[in-house]
Amino acid sequence: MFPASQPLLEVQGLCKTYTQGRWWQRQFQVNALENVNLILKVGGTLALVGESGSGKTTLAMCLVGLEEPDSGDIRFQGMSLLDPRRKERAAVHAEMQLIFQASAGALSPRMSAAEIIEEPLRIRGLCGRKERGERVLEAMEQVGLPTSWKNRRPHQMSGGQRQRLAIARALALRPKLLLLDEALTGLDLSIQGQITNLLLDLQTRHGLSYLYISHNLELVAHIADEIAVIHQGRIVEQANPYELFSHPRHPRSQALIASVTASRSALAAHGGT
Amino acid sequence: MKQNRKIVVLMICLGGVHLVSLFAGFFSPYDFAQQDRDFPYLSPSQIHFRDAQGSVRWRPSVCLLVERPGDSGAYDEDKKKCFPVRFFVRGAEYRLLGLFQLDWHLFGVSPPAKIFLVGTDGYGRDVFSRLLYGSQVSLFSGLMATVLSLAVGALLGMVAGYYGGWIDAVVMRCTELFLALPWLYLLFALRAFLPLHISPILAFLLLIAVIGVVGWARPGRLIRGVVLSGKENQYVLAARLFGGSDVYLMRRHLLPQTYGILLTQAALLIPQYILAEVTLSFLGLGVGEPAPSWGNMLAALQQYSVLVSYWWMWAPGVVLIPVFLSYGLLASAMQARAAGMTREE
Amino acid sequence: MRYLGHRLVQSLFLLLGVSVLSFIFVDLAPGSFFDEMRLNPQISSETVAKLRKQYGMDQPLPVRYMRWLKSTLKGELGFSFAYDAPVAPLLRSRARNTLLLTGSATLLGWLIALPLGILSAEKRKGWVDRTGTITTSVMLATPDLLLALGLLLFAARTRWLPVGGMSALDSGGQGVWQQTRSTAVHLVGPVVVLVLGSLPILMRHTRAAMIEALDSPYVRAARAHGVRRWRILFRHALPAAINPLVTLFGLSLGSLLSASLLIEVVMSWPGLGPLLLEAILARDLYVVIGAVMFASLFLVCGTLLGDLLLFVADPRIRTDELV
Repeated sequence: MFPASQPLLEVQGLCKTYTQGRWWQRQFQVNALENVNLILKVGGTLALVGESGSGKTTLAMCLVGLEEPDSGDIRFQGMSLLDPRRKERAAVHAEMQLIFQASAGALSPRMSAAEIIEEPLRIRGLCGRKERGERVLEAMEQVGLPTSWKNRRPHQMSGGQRQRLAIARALALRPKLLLLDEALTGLDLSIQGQITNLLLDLQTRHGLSYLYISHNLELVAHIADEIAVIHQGRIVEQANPYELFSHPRHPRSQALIASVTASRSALAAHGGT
Repeated sequence: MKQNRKIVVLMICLGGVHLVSLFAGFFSPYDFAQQDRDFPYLSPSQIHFRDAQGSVRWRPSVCLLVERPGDSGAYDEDKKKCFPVRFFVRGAEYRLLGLFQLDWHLFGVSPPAKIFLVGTDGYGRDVFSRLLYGSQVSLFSGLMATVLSLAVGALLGMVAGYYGGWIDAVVMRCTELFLALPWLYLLFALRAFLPLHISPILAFLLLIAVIGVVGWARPGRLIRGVVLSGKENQYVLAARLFGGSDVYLMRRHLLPQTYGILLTQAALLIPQYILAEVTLSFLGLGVGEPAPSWGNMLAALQQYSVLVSYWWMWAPGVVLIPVFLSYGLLASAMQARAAGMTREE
Repeated sequence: MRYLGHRLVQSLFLLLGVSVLSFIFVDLAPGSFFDEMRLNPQISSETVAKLRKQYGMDQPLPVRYMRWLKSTLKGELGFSFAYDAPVAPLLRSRARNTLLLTGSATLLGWLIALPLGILSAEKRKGWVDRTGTITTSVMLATPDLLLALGLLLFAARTRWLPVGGMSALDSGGQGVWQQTRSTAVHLVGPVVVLVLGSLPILMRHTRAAMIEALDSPYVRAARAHGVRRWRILFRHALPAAINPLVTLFGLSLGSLLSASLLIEVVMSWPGLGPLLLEAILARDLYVVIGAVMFASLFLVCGTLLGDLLLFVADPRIRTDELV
């Protein structure tokens, strides 16, 4: 049993640098991540906000194991993810799933909805055919997709429906942590609202924890318990939404908030919400 | 879409041709090696639809040939001795696909009459039968060599594109090397280093191996390109995150992306390879006697007398034109379809 | 400039690679090569001994390769048994004949294909285009072999052209003018076949390149501005279409030695083709290697020249360099 008091995910002093340039050219270093510290509690939602190039995608890649950090540690349920033993890492990584921005390449155009959702189960060889089918239908119901659609292809669905499909797929392995990398970006406002509600609903039902990565502060303000602002590879401020909005300390946070209020007043000026 | 219909029609036609080729034993009245030294270079048999009395009959018939007295080498028909052409006759034995022993033929005439639809060659062998048996060699060596080229190219291209790094660099340099060599010369040189006189079956397999291996570079590069961009798709990344192994990703997600290119390349390469086999056999470097190949049948035309006087000996060459035309149209249709699809994206 | 340097280095590496491949072939040929030579009564044992020493047959592989490479660079490409002569001069004289043939054919081919392709692209669906496309498809489907045999038949029947060969049998003692005339007459047949063979491809590429150029927004703007037809074609569309055409031209140049192999054999033109074939049938391996290397050299140089011309012709490549 995993004690609820311990943080689900702990990032300590994570550093990653990239070197650019070919072997015969002078090389420069890019500090993608510098001494990043984060804590995510069970059942909580942490938002990571920063502009493009701030390092948030690099952090996501390190968390899921696609990149190796140069130094620092990542602990999931107390166990270090940088442990060289592959089997344990693979098992742990199954508990963390990643949902991308709804784009054309996010879902395979050649697979049906059912095939997409059951793919993780197939790869891991976890259940027999019958059970896989049941889990697929269960997942579709949970995300609000009609089960009659199980043979539809992604291009036959709208952006919001595709995102629901991606969420269903992510839930197939029954993870504890969902990483959402710009998962709401690019969707219509009303759809964003629907998906946000779905995510909150799933969180309560399954006790999920979310790490939400975005460049848009306003989007995450509603759902996050804590917001961490990242800039040039460093966490410059971390606080709960109320504190952040009322007393932003770092100029970066202030800039982000300013753009939010600017768009808000622009909307209000035009008489809409 | 119009292109799809064209593609389907062409593939059915080509499929039909290949099917007839496989059943060459059934469709041809005689064995390919059956000689009739009395009748070399005979022009195609005349088919009559009238009987001796002059009335029309639905069943075609062929008349016996006798040598013109005083003019050996010239033949006239003996109109009094005509034999009907019968269908589904039993004749010389043959092996279907090398497995089944059969002796049914689509059509034939009872001896001593002979039916030579496209005349005979220098040894008195039926050109029509040789044409059909020869199609097995020419058409299928092209087909199988293409499969080999595409298999090698796809394998190396996929590995190079997926793993990148030094594997990619090595494979790319190899493709450049192979592309830098003039194809036909390389083919000839490779052939040169293998024993000259080998059995037809061995020659057939050897040709397929040589032609196929020499041509892997172009499809290899194209596949590599597809894989390079294809692996960036997020669903590939997602599958990796679910724990998919490299092999799984390549098989399940990247390989299907290459199907379009593989088919188009096939339509382009098959005619080239058929031509390569025909050329090599024509020059005596491919499949040799007594096995027929459209190439070695055309070799007879290198003799002046044959070239000028016996027009039916051109049949193996003329037959190539509709085959190549079909493949050419197929390739164009496939390319047009691919271009249309990318425009839609 | 850096791009050109890169390409030059790449070409050198390619040639080196080709030489290694060729050498491995020579080495791997079944049966010791020199044993076969020794059995051959036409070759004196001194020649065999000399060649053995020259190629260092008793030395390990890398040494043998270096020696072979050195002799090759000096211009000595080995010894031909069938002709009882060193390979290099043999190759040179035959290559000259081939180049005469392919050079004329390439020139003629491009001269015909370019205007036809341009016209075809300009008046799409016009009668030139439609007949052109159909003829091109059929011609593409007709193998060169058939065209060559067809021409021989034509020559035999009409007697307007000689049936193969490069010069009349009795032209040995005649004056230069007679010989040139004789050669020219013999040239017609093979050139016609080569041109008919390459025309469809050239036309198709020209047409495709021109269509793309004519459809570009930049040409459309020119047309909207009322620029006249010929100006548009030659000052606007053609330069834009030049890219793929120059690359194709490089390939044409590169295949000058290799494209006519079959036709030379069928029409008895004494070029590299028949030499290669005879060498293969006679197991004259040094000739085979020499011919392949020579043809590869041409191909590599041809593509390099094509890239060079592209560099000169396309300003975009040059400015990319500066970035």
